[in-house]
Amino acid sequence: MRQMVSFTLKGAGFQVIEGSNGQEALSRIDSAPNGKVDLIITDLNMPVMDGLSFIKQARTKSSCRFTPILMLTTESSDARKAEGKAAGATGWIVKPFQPDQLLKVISKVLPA
Amino acid sequence: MHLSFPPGSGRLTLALIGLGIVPFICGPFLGTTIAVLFCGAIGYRCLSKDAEHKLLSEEANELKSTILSLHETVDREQKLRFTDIERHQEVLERSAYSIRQLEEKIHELETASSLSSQHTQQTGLTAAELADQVTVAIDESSAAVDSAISSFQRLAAESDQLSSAAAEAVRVRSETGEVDTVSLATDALNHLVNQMISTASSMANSAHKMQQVVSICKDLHTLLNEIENVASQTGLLSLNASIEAARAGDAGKGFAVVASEVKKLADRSTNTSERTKELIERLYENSNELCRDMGTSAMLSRDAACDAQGRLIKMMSTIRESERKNAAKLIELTEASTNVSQEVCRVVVALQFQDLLRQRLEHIHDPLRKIATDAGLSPDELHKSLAVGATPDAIVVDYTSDDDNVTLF
Repeated sequence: MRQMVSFTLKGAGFQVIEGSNGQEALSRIDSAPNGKVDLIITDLNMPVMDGLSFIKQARTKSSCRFTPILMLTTESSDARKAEGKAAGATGWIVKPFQPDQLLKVISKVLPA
Repeated sequence: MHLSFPPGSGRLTLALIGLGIVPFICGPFLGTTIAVLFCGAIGYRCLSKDAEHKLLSEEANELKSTILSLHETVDREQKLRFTDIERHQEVLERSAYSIRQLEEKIHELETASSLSSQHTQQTGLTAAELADQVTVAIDESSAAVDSAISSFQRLAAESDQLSSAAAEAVRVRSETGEVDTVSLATDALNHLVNQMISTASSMANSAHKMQQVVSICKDLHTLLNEIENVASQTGLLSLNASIEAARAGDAGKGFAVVASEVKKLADRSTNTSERTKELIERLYENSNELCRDMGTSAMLSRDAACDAQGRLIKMMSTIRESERKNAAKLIELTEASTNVSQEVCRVVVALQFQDLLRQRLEHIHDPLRKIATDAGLSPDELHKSLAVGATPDAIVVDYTSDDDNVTLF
């Protein structure tokens, strides 16, 4: 799934940094240029550190405080969405996604 | 055989016999009790005085009657016992039957237990095999997805390059559309062919003029013949003048000199005319040859130009048709590239379904492992064990292409 998202984003001209779980993603963000990224897309169910914990951790970083974070997950219950929103997610996309649809959502949440 | 008994021994014997018979008649417990009581009473009295023998005899009679009554009682008891025994026998038979059935049931239970154990072990093995198969399926599925994604990444990259090339070609063609390169080439080549035709025509004109020169040469040759004739006549006149001058004597000496000079001029005219005639003949021959060559060249040039023009027209037609087809193919290529991009999008969606399937397999995998591990547990323990690794119930299987699956907070 990560590869497909990466493939879609790279095809649209984005520079992509990947991590296989929340913990790895946090370290990758730290090692990114200027220690910040323009957008974060994360799954909910991940090993080591799940998506909600990752968002909470990311929001504690000054560089990620206002970074748009999209949840891309199979879960669609309102309760889980509420948890995502409370954790600091900007949007919630239920898999499967269409590449064009993902890019459209990204264009909406990315600052102009 | 004769047996003698001491006094009172008859009662003892009776007591012993009673001891032997009563238990036999009355049953083990009741008979023994009666016999013991009876022996005790009889023994005690045997040790008493003989004086009381009568009394004892009476008592013995009473006892006899008592024994008779006991016999009757024992008989009734025995009948009752037999009835009880029969009933007990029936009960025992039924009990034996029940016991046999119980044994069979126990055997069946043992067999069932053994089978259950084997089945449990088999279930454990089957679960383990299934878990292994699920693991293999997950691995193969992941590998297939990775491979497919890599292929589609390459395909998409090539499609992008193709699309860019097609777009560039369309752009270039659009920019140069107003100045049709094929038309320009056609015009240039037509101009060249026309020049060749014009040159051939000029050469034909030159050949014609050269024919006129040849004709002039003929006329000159005629004139030179006329000049030669005049010179010959002049020479003849100078000879007549010389003759007349000689006839006139001294008076004709001066005229003789003039006649001689005129003859010389006539000879010179004749020589000059002959030389001119030779030159004109050579000029005539050369001009005639040149005229033939020019005519041949002009004809060949014209034919070549006409042939080249025909070939050129055909070639240009072919090029124009090819260019038209290329333009159409270019448009098709652009459309195909767009279609490839759309197909790649669809495949990306399809691969996500495959990824969802893989996730489900992963959720199945852990419980299967637990079943394999906990095959020997009781159903309750197994249920509790499986409840730990319960499958999430929120995996989406419905797919919509609209924005229903997007929520922005």
